[in-house]
Amino acid sequence: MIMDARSVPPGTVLEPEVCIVGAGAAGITLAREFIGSPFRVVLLESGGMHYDQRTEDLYEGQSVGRPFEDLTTCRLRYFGGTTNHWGGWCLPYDAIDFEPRDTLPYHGWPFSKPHLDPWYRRAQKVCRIGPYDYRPSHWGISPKEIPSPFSGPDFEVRILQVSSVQFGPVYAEELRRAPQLHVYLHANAFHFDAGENNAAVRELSVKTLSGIDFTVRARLYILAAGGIENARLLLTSGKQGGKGLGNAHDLVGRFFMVHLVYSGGVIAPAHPRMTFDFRSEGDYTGFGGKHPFVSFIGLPAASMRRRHLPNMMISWGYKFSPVVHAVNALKRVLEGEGPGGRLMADLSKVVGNLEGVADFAARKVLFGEGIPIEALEVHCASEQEPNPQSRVFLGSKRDRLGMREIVVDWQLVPEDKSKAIAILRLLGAEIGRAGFGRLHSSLANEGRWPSDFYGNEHQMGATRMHRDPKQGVVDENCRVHGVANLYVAGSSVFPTGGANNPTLTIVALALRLADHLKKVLA
Amino acid sequence: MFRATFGRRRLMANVIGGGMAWLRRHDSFLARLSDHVRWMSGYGALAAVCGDLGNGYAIGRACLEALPTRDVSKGSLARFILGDVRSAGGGWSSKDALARSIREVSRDDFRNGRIVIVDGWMLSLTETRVYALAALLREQGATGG
Ligand SMILES: Cc1cc2nc3c(=O)[nH]c(=O)nc-3n(C[C@H](O)[C@H](O)[C@H](O)COP(=O)(O)OP(=O)(O)OC[C@H]3O[C@@H](n4cnc5c(N)ncnc54)[C@H](O)[C@@H]3O)c2cc1C
Repeated sequence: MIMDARSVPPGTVLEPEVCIVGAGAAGITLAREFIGSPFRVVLLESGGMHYDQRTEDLYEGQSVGRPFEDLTTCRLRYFGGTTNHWGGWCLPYDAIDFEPRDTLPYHGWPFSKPHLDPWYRRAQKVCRIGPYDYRPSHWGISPKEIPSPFSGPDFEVRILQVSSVQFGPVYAEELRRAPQLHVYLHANAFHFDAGENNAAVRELSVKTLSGIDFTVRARLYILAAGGIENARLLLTSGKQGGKGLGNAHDLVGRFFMVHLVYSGGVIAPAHPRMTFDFRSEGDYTGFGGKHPFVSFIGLPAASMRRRHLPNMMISWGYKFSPVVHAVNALKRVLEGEGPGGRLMADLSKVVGNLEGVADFAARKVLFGEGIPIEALEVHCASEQEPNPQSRVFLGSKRDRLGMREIVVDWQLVPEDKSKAIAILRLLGAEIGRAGFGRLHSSLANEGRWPSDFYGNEHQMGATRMHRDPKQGVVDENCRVHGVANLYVAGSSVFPTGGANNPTLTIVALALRLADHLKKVLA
Repeated sequence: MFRATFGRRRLMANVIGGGMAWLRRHDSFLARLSDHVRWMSGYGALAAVCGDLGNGYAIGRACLEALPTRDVSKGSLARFILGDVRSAGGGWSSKDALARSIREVSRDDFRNGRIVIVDGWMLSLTETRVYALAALLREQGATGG
């Protein structure tokens, strides 16, 4: 059932077994797992079914560290959460992302990747993508097509799958039809009361922007409000004047990480007609359907281990030589598609590159040679080292509901840059060694990050997972240390961020948590 | 412009004459050469390879800046380049043979981390030296220096 919290009589007390806060990828996945179970579930969602500026403004906050993305655009506050405008790139984390690493401080999860595999498999279905198989050769990329710098030992081609699932629109109907599941829209979780000693949540107070207050008393509570908001709600809850819930060791909000995104430079190919047209994106027909995928370049685990490097996803963009534009122009001219003024421009391009067009066409037909490339742009997304100084905390300003706004103090360590430089150096060396070309690195020397550098929308780590309460906010089952009935779902529990997109892992962890909670409730 | 200065015949004359003059003036270098003729032909081939880099003056200048100053005379650059080619078992019987050898040595450089960053470009040490030498040859001619 989906209801509007603004029509709940003030002072109402709801008493489900399970209360989930936030209807994004994590919250919706969790809620779906309880459909058909005997347990009554309340899912509280701050927004409605559509974007609304007043609600989105509740996400406002400040940034006092490195320049950080606008907090009201890097996440969305309505049913379906940030998946309402995500890119849908899905892939599991690499096994090495879960491992402790000698030379990378705070690295590692309380369990290994094989432990999470069964839930990853199920997560694939939730995201409606292909099979749990990420071997490029199984996606129609033959090893022969891969240029030698990217076929080991230091770099390899990988693939990710692309989901078109926006969790809100796709799963709303299913939730609406579930009788024992009550979704409340426009319902903002405001404060968890966990008694004098913060040992167990007794009740959650909920507010709407229209001024209605009500209460949820559940057996179990799950925070699934997104990477930053999970920390905000913990910090703002608990005893009046206290440090917040689960914050006995001043860890809530610390270790805040994102993926570091920047252009790594440009590869000038040794041969302008080198073959580099193995499929960088496309639809693969197989596995009983049509599945979109994207290929990228990554580091094999052995290389990361040997060289003490963090993870990185490298993708590329083509800068085609004019001849390609001419070929496209020729096609348009031949197909008579050129609208008005375009025709002249196209013709002049074709004539200007006539020789090239003929040459290119002939070569393609005769030799099946690759596309003439002027340069390849290198785009990087690299792992940020977990860093206790990088944090989110409560500011003094309050939002419209009276909750203290969040302040982001995003910080890096010098190794974030020096290791990115090392990886690009390795890439430059591989490209040179293979006679593939030369790399112009935008991060060649210890200096500034490239001008387009930013920390992306994958907010992780602020309620990190660790078995030891002195080193993590939640335990290996995602339960808040020291609070008997409060759990966290989402990327805020990631102790290490890897370089891969996080949502498939968020969904896998949510499925795992649902299985665990069913056992707890039984 | 480099090509204009170094027309084929003039180039050979320059290379041989210049090479001789250059070698005469560098006794210490001479002393290290056991096979004068071989080295002279190497120097000739190298000058020809550099001549083919006619458009690479700007990068050659940048390479000069990127190398340690003590290494950037024509003599030492030529000695380093040919020395590395020889230790790698490469040859310089012709310009093309030397160019091939330089490519091989460059790949080894990348393999062994002998990389120089020139205005952000990651170049092998050997190719950096070749570009630098080309720039010097263009500035100073094949003789002297
Ligand atoms: C532009 C963009 C592109 C992206 N592309 C990708 C991609 O290609 N691949 C990928 O893996 N990831 C991508 N992401 C990240 C992805 O969107 C997130 O990882 C994912 O949505 C996180 O899921 P979540 O459920 O933890 O949080 P969210 O999806 O943010 O959901 C949190 C929900 O909690 C609600 N909420 C917040 N506070 C409260 C409160 N106090 N009370 C009640 N409800 C509350 C919010 O309204 C929201 O619905 C992208 C993000 C952006 C911004």
